[in-house]
Amino acid sequence: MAAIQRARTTPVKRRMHPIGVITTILQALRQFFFLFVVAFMSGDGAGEGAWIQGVLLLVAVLYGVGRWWRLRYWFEDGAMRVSDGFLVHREVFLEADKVQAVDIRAGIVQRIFNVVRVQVKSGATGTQVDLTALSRVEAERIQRLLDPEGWASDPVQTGEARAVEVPSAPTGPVAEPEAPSRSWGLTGKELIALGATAGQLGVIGSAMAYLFSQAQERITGYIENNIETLIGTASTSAPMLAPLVIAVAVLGVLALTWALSIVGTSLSWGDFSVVRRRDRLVVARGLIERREVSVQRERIQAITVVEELLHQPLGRCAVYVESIGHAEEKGVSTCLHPFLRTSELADFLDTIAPGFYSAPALHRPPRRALPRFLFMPSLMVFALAAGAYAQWGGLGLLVLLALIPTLGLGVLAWRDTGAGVTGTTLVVRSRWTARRTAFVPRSRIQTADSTSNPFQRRRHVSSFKVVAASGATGRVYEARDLDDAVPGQLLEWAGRLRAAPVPKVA
Amino acid sequence: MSEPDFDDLETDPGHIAVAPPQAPPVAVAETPPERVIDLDQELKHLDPRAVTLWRIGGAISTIIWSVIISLATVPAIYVLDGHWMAVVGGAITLVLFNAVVRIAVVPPIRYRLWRYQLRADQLFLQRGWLVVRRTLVPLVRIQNVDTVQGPIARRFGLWSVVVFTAANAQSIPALSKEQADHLRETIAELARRARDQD
Repeated sequence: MAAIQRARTTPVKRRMHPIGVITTILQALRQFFFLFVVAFMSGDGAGEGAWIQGVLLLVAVLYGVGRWWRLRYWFEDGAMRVSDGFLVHREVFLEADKVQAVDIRAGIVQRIFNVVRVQVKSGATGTQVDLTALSRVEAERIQRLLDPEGWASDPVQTGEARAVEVPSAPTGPVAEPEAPSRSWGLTGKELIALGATAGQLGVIGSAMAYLFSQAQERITGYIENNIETLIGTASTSAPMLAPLVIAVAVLGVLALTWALSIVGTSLSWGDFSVVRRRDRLVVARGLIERREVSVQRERIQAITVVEELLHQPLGRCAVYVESIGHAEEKGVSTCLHPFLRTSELADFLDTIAPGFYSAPALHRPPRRALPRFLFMPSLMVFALAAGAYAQWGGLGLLVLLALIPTLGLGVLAWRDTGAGVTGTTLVVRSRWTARRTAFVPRSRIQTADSTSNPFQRRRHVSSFKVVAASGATGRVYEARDLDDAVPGQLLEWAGRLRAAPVPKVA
Repeated sequence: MSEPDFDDLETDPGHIAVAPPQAPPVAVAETPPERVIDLDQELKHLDPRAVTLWRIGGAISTIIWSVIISLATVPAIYVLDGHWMAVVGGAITLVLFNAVVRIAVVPPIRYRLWRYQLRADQLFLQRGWLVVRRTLVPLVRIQNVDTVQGPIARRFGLWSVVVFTAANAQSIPALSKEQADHLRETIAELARRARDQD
C-alpha cells in the first residue's frame, strides 16, 4: 500500500493516453451508428443525409476530444477516483479493497497504437471504470495500486514493460506474496499442428466445398469455352479434362481449408499463455484481438479434459474449466489449454489448478454391456444403408462400410467409459467420438443420479450421472452402463459430507 | 445398493418421519444426527391422493390431445381422400390409448414407485417405471426450498416441494400440506446446518 499512501500526499490527476481521443471518438461513433444509418436512409441521395452525417461526425469528434480532456483519474486515500463527463458530470469513487478485477485488454484499435484498455470492476454492478487507452506501464501501475497482491497481467506480455522503471511509482515493485506459477504456452509448431487437426476443419471444409460446388459449373464451362487459348491446341477433348480439373480443385479445397484453419488458429491462439497467480487462473491469447480471461480458483466447478479423435494419437488433449461467474454473470466454460501433451496433464493441473487431478482406477462397464455400445450406432448405419439402397440401389450398400469405424468407436467407447473416485474427487470418463474425462470435486456435485432403463436392467447395468453448476442448467457428466452395484456406491460416496473411505467394488 | 425391494409396498404409505428436527441445534452441531442406513424401510411415499390428481391431469391432457388430433384429422381426411374411416379410426384409437395409459395405467404405478427420503445429510429421490431414476441431492448444495401448488392440486390441498441447487431443481410432487411444510422446513434447516458444518 506504500504507493497509495504516497499518492495521498500528492494526488496527481491524470488523463488517458492521447490515443484516448481516437478510442473515445470511435466509442461515440459506435453509439451514433444507428443515427448514421437513419440519416443515411432518410437522406435522398447525397443531399441532407450526408449533411446530417457530417454534423454527427463533427459532434463525435468534439465529444471525443472533450471527453478525453475532461476524464481524469487519480488515487487518494486508498481509493481510485475518476472525474468524467462534460455535460453530465460524473465522479467515481472506488475503494481498492472493493475492486474485484482489473482487466487489461487490447482490442484492434489499441493494438494498432500499442496501448491497452483498462476496465476496473467492483461489486455486482460490473464495470465501473473504463479507460479505453492507456500505456502498458500506466495500466500496470493502476493494477498494482488497486490490487497490490494481485494478479498482474500476462508476464510474457508485460515483461518488457516491467523492465522500464515506472517513473510515477518509484517505490519499486510491491512485494509479491507468492510468485505466479509456471506459465504454459504453445510453440509455433504446436499452433500449426493444432490448426491442422482442429475441429473447425470440417466446418471450413464443408463451407469451401459448398463455395466450390457453386463455382464449379462456371469454372468447367469457362475451361471448355477457352480450351484452345488455355492449352493452345483444339485437339484435346475438353470432357477428358473435367475430372482432372475436379481433382485439382478438390486438392485445392483441402489445402485452402488447412491453410485457413491454421491461420485462424494462429490468430485466435497466438501468443497463448496460461498461468496461476495466487487464486486466479489467467488465460491470455490472440494475435489481433487479445483476450484475457481470469478465473477465480474458488469458483471452479469442474475440469474437463477432451481428447479429440485426431488429437489422441498425437498424445494431445484440451483442458477446459467450468466455473460459475460473479453475481450477475452466467457460468462459463473456459479453455485452459487447447493442445496439451496428455503426459503432462497431471503436472499441468497440479500447477494451474491444484487439487483437481487424480487418477483413480475407473469402474468400467462390464463385458455384458458391450453390445449396448454397439447396437444403436450399428442400427443407425443400417438405417442409413437402407435409405441409400432405396435411393441408389446396390451401390448404396457401400454405406455399410461405415460399420467398421462405427463398431470401432463403439468398442472404444465401451473401453473408455468409466467412473471412479479418489479421496474427494470424482472422475467420470465417456466417449462419443472424443474422449472426455471430467474431474469433479465432491464438494461441487450438485446432484447425483443413477438411472436404468428396461434394456439396461436386462443386463444388470445402470448409468451414473452427476451435475455440476455451470450457467443456468448445470453441466452433466455421465458414465453409462456400469455394473448395477457401482452407481449406488458412487451415489453413497457423493452424498457423504466429509472425506471417508473410498468405496470398493468387487 | 440392490434393486429396489417393492415387497413392503403396502405397509406404511405416506407416513411422515424425518430426521429429528426438535434436537437442539448446539447438540446437533457437535454430533451430527445419525444417518439412516436402512433405505428400504425409510423411503417415503407421496400422498395417496396423488393418484387421483394425476388421473385428472391425464384426463385434461387427453382432452387437449383429442382437440389437437381432431384438428389434425380434418386436413388428413381431405388429403387421404377415400380413407376417412381409417383416419378417424386411427385418431380415435390414439386418443383412447392415450386416455387409458394416462388415466388408468400410469398414475397408480407412478405412485407406487415414487419414493423419497430425507436423510441427515442428503435428499434421496427414487421414481420411474420404465426408466428407474435415483437422485441424490447433498443437503449442503441446496440453496432454496419452495412449496408450490398448481390449480388442480389446490382442489386437493396437495403441494410439491421443489429444491434448488446451483445447477438444477428437483421436485417432489403431490404431498399433503403438513407433509410438504414439514419437509420444506426440515430440508431448509438441515441444509443450513450442513452448510454451517461444511
